Amino acid sequence: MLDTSPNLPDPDAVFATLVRAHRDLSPEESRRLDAALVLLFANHIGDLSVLEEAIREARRAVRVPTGTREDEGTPP
Amino acid sequence: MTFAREMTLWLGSREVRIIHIGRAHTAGDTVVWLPKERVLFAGDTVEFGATPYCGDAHFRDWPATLAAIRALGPEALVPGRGRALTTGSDSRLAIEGTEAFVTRLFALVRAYAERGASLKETYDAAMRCAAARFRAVGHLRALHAVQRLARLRRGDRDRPPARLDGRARPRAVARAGRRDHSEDRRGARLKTGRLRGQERRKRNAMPTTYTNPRFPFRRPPELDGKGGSARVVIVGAGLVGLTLALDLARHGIASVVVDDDDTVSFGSRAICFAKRSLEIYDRLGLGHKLLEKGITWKVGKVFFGSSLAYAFDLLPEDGHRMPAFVNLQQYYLEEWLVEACAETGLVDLRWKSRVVSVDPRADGVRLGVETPEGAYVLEAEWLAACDGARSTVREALGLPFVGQVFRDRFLIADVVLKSDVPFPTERWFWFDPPFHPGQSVLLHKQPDGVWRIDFQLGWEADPEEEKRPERVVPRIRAMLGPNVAFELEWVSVYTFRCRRLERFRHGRIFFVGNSAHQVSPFGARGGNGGIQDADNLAWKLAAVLKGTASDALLDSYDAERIPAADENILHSTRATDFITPKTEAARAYRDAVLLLAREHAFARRMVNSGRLSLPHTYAASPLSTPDSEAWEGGPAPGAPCVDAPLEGGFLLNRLGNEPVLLRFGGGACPVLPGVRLVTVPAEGTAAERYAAPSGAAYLVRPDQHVAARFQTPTTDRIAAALSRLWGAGDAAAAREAA
Repeated sequence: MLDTSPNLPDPDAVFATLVRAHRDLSPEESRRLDAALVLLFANHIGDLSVLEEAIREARRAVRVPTGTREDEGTPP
Repeated sequence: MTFAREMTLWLGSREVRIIHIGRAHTAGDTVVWLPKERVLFAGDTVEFGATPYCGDAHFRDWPATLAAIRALGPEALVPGRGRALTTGSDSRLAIEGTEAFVTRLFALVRAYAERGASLKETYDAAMRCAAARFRAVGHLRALHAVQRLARLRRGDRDRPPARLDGRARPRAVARAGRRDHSEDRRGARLKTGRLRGQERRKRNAMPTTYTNPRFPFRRPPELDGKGGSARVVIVGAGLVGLTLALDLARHGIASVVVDDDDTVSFGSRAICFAKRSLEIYDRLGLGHKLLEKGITWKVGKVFFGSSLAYAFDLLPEDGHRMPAFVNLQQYYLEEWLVEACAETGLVDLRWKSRVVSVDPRADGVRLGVETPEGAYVLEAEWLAACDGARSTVREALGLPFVGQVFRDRFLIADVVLKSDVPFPTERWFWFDPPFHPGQSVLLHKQPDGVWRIDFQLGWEADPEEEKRPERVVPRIRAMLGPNVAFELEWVSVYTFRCRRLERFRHGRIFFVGNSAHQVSPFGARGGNGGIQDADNLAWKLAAVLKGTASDALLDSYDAERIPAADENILHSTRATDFITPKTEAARAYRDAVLLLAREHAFARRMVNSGRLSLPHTYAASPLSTPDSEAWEGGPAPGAPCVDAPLEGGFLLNRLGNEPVLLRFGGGACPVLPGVRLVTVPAEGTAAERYAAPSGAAYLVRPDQHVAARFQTPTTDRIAAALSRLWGAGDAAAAREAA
């Protein structure tokens, strides 16, 4: 079960930390870094259904407006 | 002179009947029948060696008309096109050939029309079907496109294989009666001498380390009016067809194997034989040969860029007769299979025999077979289509494949290394290596000092261009370094598909191996999957032929091998997606996994350069009896038996190919007819691997998979499981138990 309730004592620090992680990186390196982070988190969570739930939420959140990028398939 | 339906003329004492026997080629088809001589002038109702003109045809009526013609029972027949047929069997072949053409073509066109397909799609499909089934029929006048394909195909046979590949070869044309080990694998035989600075190219050179044997055509009895039927016919004497024939023979079942070629496979094909396949061949009596000749390996290494990402050991455990893998060129194994089949005296191997028509019936299959000395009809009680990815039998039945094509190309280069070998006997896989940036490379060692290298090329690569030694040799040199001398002995470029038939059993016809399913080469699941198909089918077919089991047992071939094929397709698709990422994001994840893998075990488990073939567990099989006791390990019902060392040998060698009750420890034990008792010690490795308490027993199937297991075996429980093993289902099992 994905916990989406506020769970971070210092959300500003978390946000800044994530952004700082990408400092000086090329877009390609950034992409790899994010992928590596997701893989580490996925292993930490250790539960495919939680991951699926998170993906569902993330896709819902970032879904580009209709009619521009519909070629990426449907959410799981 | 006119007549209504039939009229008789007497030419002296010779009766000549002129019959409007029914509509076929036109509305007014008429045949001339000499009842005493049993000679039929068929007009255009029957054609031989030519496609009928169908422009004015009555497709719905034509089969009935042919049935009426067949009922006349002609011993000689003059068709509208083609030579005069002077025997009853040739006459029947012509009638059946015409019927097959008309009915299949009509069924196909109707199916496409119902689906709302365009005229072009329908036409193309009809051409494919016609070309596949009727390629051998010579003049295809009415259908010009088919004629063209046939001409190209005829040309193929005499053309050097180096030019057989590529665009000149019509994809749609299947090789009738011939197994086809790969698809879109464009082979080029060539050899370059090991030359300093310059490369020499020889077309048509055989690989230097192996010469294909040529098997003689032997005139079959059917051509002299004898024989004509077989209990089992196997189409395709390739790896899978020969394995099935040998397995059937080991069960005492004779078979006829037809193949349009006269030799074993050519060039680099299947090379990795997995443990389960080795155990199957051990049961068939060839295990020692594979061990002796094959290259045994169990360590794999994966590199990313220039550094090692991780290494794995496939079989860290001792006490197995067979290793995790053996690498061996497919042609050696096929050669041994041919020898072993011949030794049984039960396998009638017919080389240079091409299946030209397939007519499925309720009680068997009627085949038309063409040979250098004439054509004949062969009636099979059961037919196994082991004729590869471009299966003629499958085309003949018009069965579609469902699946995915991968838009990528790979180059196979087999090289003989002439100097010190820079690699150990391991499987090495590179992602994005410095010598082949952006792509992947796989390296395997084979016997005879041959190394197989697979280079990923990408979809845009030109296969013709990439096969040229001028392109290949520098790639290999970049990989091996400047000081390693080598000789190139095989080059081909391939693409692949992951797909399968919806069902593998169609009445009396079974699809086995690549004719039923195809996978990418990553994971060694193609050849190994086909071998396991044969292993699964042989004992069932043998049991039905001997009357031990009913026809229902054969349905379990689908129930067991379709999930196995799906498992293979899933793994090989995932491996392919990992190796050839389709999007930027996929590549980022793939690269991140490889980078994390250096440090983190969890990421190593995600690295997928091919999940190497493991035996399928028939988990949901109708033949398995689920556990009713708690087991802490051991092979579950449906799983293959695990090997273990015993005094003086190995456990699997004690099992054989009939049902076995594998008993752990002594004491009284129920004995059932048709089940052989094998007792092993209650203490030791075997008992540990089977998690078996003293007195426990496993009921083992003829293919050495577990049917059931009991911690407290009783006669009733074993009898119920045995009945289920033979396909009688759960109800019978329940009845037996009660």
